[in-house]
Amino acid sequence: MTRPAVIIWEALRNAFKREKATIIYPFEPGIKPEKGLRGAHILYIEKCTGCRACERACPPIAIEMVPSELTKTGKRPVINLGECIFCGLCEEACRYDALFLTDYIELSSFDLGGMIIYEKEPPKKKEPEGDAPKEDES
Amino acid sequence: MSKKKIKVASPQTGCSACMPNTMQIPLGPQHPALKEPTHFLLEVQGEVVVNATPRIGYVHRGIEKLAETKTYSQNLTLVERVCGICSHVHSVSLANAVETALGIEGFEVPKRAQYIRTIVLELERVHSHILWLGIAAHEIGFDTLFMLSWRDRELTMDILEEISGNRVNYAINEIGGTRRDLSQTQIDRMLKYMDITEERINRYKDICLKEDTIRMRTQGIGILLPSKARELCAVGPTARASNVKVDVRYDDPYSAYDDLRDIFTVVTYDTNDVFSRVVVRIIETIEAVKYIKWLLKNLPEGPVFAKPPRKVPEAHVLSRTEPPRGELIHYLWSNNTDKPYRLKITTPTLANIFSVAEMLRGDYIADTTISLASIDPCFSCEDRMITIVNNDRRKPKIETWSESQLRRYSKEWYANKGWKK
Amino acid sequence: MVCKQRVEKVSAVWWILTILGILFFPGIGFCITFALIDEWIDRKFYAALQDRIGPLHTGFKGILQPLADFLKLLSNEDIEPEAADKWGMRITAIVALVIPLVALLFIPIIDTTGMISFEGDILLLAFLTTVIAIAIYLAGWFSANRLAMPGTMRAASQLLSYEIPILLTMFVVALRTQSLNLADIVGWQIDHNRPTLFSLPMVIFFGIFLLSTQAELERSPFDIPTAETEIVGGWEVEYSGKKLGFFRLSADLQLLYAAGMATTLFLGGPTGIELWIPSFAETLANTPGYHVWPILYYTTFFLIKSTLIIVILATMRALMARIRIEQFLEFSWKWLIPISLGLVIVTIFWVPWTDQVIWSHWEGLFPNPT
Repeated sequence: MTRPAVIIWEALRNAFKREKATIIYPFEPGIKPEKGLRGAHILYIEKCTGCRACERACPPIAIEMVPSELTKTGKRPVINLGECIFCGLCEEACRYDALFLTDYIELSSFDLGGMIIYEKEPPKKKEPEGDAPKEDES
Repeated sequence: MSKKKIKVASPQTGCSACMPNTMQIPLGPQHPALKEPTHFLLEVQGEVVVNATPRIGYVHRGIEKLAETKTYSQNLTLVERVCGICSHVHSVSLANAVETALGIEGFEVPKRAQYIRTIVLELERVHSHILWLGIAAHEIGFDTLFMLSWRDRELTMDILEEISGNRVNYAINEIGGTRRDLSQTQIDRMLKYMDITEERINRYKDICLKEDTIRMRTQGIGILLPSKARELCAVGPTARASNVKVDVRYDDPYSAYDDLRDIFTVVTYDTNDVFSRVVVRIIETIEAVKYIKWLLKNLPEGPVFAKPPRKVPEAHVLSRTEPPRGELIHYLWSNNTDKPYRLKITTPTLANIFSVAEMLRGDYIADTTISLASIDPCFSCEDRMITIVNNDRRKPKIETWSESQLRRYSKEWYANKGWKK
Repeated sequence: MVCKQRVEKVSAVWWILTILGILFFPGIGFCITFALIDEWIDRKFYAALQDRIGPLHTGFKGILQPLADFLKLLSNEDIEPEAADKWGMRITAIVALVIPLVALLFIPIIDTTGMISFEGDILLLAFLTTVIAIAIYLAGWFSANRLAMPGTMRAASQLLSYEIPILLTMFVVALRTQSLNLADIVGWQIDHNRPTLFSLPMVIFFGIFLLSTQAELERSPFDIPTAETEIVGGWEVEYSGKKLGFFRLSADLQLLYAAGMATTLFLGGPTGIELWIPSFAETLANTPGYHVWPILYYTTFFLIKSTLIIVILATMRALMARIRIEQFLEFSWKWLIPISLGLVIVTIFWVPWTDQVIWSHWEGLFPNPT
């Protein structure tokens, strides 16, 4: 039996609910990064040897090797987050467990240059340090 | 404020290759109803469409050529980006092709990996069909159903994000298995969300079958007779809605569909119009939820990944799968290296385009967009290598442009408009 | 009634008060403000039915959003096609804006009569509604776009077919209250202590009036002429910038006008407690700050009742899919008009019978000042 306006009771129930289905994202915490969400990269420079396995494995060629003083072969990777597709093949290709993808997903910048995470290395020190990509770019 | 003078184009009448006494209206590349560009040249008499000529190729991106320069592992992520909605199917199809080629030397994918791939395939089918239901409701002006069904699609997207890390383009596949495993908390949450989704989809089925205005708008429109469907090689729900029983998951099972064969049903409906396509897709969604629950309860133990050899022996492989839209074919020609020699992709929308041209004949102009939307078009999947032939006698038949010609043309065009670089 | 008794002569004060009234309250300024607020109410309730929040950030809970949309349209670039009739396009936009404002002067908002009121003003309002329909048709015609032609033809046939149930409804109410003056209709409802709605054929006519209003305002499910996903905008497609802003504001004003008409004809106008306690009018007239209290009282009740009508219209917008033009016209000519005509004849016989049997007892319950 067909009749018009079948959806009326459900619509009226929705209208008088207190909380609607919309998440007002910047003002409410919206996405909860679960474990395993693929975000920006972190490189442990004391384990990296510059073997270029990540550069070969990257599908959109977003990794570039730049000269470095802390690695064995004299090179370390720098990742262009504008080209990166966050697939995680670089993390799998790294044999020395140096490159990981973290939960940090709020990445935006005002120009293309800001998408390349390039931090200058400090001079050689005894204690290890991480190449932190978590700078605020918004 | 400067005033622009814009010439309004007058429609041409009586083109030499078209039917006489008709006005030509373009269902053009720019239209608010189309999500991706395509072009149909409609010839109308009054308000009735007499003939429709399709023209495709606006979203050609050169993926097949690019696939020859990347290794198979990188190609899985490239091929996933052919389409946004049916992305996992492309990756499974290519992985199946490569694993079949590797299977010549005795390589086998573990069973648990096949089950996980099938679970993600069916989840993708659920989310794609609910997306289509919302879009079709928006095309006929029923925005409430659009908003409510997309709200319920968010449950499926949350599950997919939790399993694979991303809402589209999951990258959960790898040649030789999958990259991630399912934990017990994930399985429990998936079962709970699938129960909620099933209840909501049953509610939408009630609404679509009982609502007067939806029936008035979708019955009797876009008729595709079964004989015509077979002749024009329609695939997927478009063919199944015309009572043609064709489904790759049943005829030619891949991944874990062998084990599902006992509870699998091919869903058909026989009124040959837009309404039957709506019904077929909703019932397919309910069936997909049923298969997901069965697969989750019977998940075998074991590893999820087996490391494949790097070089793939020489083989010609044809792999067929069933995305939510129809039948997808990947043809792979591998020589004995780690990059493919030739990869060809044929998508279901390309097979269904001529059925659309057939459906549009005899209907009113107002119904063209809902008829087009009823085959679930995904034009970004569709554009592979094509040749455009110009029937206008004033120009030569086929034109090919080299890159330097294109650059010169674009510079001249922008210089003529007075725009600075 | 109450205000006019004070200032009797046509004097300079009267002229100043009238001109200020037309410009600000309850004329142009008030009507435009409340048209925009009614659009806000419509959008918020429509969104709430769909389990989402409507406009949120501009102003308090988004109340300035329709104003922001209007100002943005005013500042857009105005592109006029070469083949179109430019002065025709401009004049139809202005006419479409001005006529609802004129029609709103007749509706009782701050008093039980409108700013202008004379015997037979219902006929003038019927005429003005038809002029709006013709303006919309000419708007599509002047824009000289072949793709807008189907939209214009659909608009013309839809608007003129759904005029007839509205006119029949207005005349049935006039028949019932035995006067052709909006002020007298409100007066009848005050004298007989009940709104016109309290009668079974009148309830059906109320439903018919709301349905036809939804069709006249071209709102979903009857927004066939400007269907976005089918014919890309219909008669509105060549309008941009200021002209489109005027058409949108005119649609909002027509919404306020339709709600005002429904309130006056069926729900008793801007009266509230007066319907049942007639001595309330005397007490209100004798309180200090004489000019202000009745105005606030009447305006508040008008706004409450018109908001109720707008909420009903917003619900109607969310519930159904858009239907095709020929099904729609078929519904009008085959079902709605014959039913309305039949109900007119039923009303003529039903009303005196129920007046005698039921409503005479009802009127006996309330003390009448005579």
